[in-house]
Amino acid sequence: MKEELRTAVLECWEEIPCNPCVTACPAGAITMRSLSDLPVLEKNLCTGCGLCAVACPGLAIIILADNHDKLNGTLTIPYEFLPLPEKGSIVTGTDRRGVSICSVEVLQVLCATTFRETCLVKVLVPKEYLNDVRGIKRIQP
Amino acid sequence: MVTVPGSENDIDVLIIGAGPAGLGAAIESAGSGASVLVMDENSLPGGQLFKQIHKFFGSEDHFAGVRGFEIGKILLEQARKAGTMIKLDSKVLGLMDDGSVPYMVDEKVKIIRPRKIIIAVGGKENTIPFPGWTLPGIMTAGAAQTMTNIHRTLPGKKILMVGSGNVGLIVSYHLIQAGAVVVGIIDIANEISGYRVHADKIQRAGVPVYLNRKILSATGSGRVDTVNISGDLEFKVDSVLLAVGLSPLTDLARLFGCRICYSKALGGFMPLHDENLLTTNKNVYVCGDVAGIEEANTALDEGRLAGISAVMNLGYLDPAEGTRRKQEVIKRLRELRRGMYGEKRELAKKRVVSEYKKMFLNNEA
Repeated sequence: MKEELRTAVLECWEEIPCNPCVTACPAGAITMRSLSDLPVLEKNLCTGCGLCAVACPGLAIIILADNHDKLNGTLTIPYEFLPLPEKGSIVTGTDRRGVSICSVEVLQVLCATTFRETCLVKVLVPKEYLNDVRGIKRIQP
Repeated sequence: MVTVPGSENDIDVLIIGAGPAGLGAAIESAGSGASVLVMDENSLPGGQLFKQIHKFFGSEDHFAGVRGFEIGKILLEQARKAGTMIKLDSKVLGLMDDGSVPYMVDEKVKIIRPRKIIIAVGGKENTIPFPGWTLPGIMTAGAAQTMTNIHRTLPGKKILMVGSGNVGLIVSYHLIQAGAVVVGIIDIANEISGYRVHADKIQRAGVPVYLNRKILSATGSGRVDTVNISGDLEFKVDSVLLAVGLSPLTDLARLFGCRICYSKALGGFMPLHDENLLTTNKNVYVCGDVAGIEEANTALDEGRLAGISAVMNLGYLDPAEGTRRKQEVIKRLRELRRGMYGEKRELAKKRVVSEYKKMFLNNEA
């Protein structure tokens, strides 16, 4: 299987004074002219590592790979609710307004001390929904 | 009983309020060698920082990406390391003609004689009255945040939030994280007034936002159970939270004889001040939300600016070095007040400063 081509997707729409994505990026792929400008992503430099998605206080960055297999891509979403979804479980993918879109499989749940309690949840998403799914339904305790 | 002031009561800088502004002022002023005391009427220092469980915006200089309560710990540690004394459960009562400050601690009145005073007491939450607003279960969003994040008790399970500013959006997110259901956020405005990324977070979590709506009444026996909203909307809830803005806490500044001005963009009445945050009382500075409602990063940097200005004035800082440090902070403040939200505050702050200057020109004429 060929390697997944992952890239960050920045859904940061407003000029607010904030730049942790810039300082978090080890590849220098995100730049800002000044603190209150919009971040700009240089796609060629982005490795899709996800560190910006963890650092963004607005949870406004996801990591997208559109070539996981023929039918599916993956989305890696910052997640701050407990309980965490389990790897291998099927959860509901939701859009930007929380509306259910489709079932998605949880491929990976990443939590590290350096993430400061924001975890990354990687889900398998049918290609046609890659631009719609932006979250997952919270797991009921 | 009033204790007789002795030399141990003399201090260079008294900072009132141990939130981000007060701690910023403490770090800078104590770091320059001045004797500095921070007083707070609460039992814990940190102001509102310890209720903030989300990651903060800003730059590295403002600990961006770190959660608010952790920033509180860092600032407190820095202030203590710089040599700041912190006195809790102590309520400042006023200012005497000889410049000494009476305060209440353990139900006794004591006196301190500061050379400079920095007021960093923050703001207070606004409320809106409506029929039924005194029912249990109805409170301000900040109160609910204290209950949830400090006392670890949810104010309710089914909550309506009134106000879509950053406080309403962020507290809603905290409540969902703590396991409550936020049935909706209403706002009288025709657009969400907080940051879009905060709104996205809460909307992705499935919380609907209703615009152009106002709360008409709340009913219930013993506790709120129904809320009526304009446009024939009704919610069954056990809590209604009000996040309808903040106003500077001007009481102490008024007692200290500081002239008050009005700025709608900065939350209403506030102490008039110059670009160094000096009020019309030449020994009193203000910083943070008391000097106009903004946010924690601006409060921290304003605190630093007030701290530097106060110790420069006392001669603890070489003027060239002091000016250099002030410029650094001013540059950061300018950055924080840029963009679609910051611009309005930058303009409003400039108006306050120019009103201050005008007043002194008129007095001299």
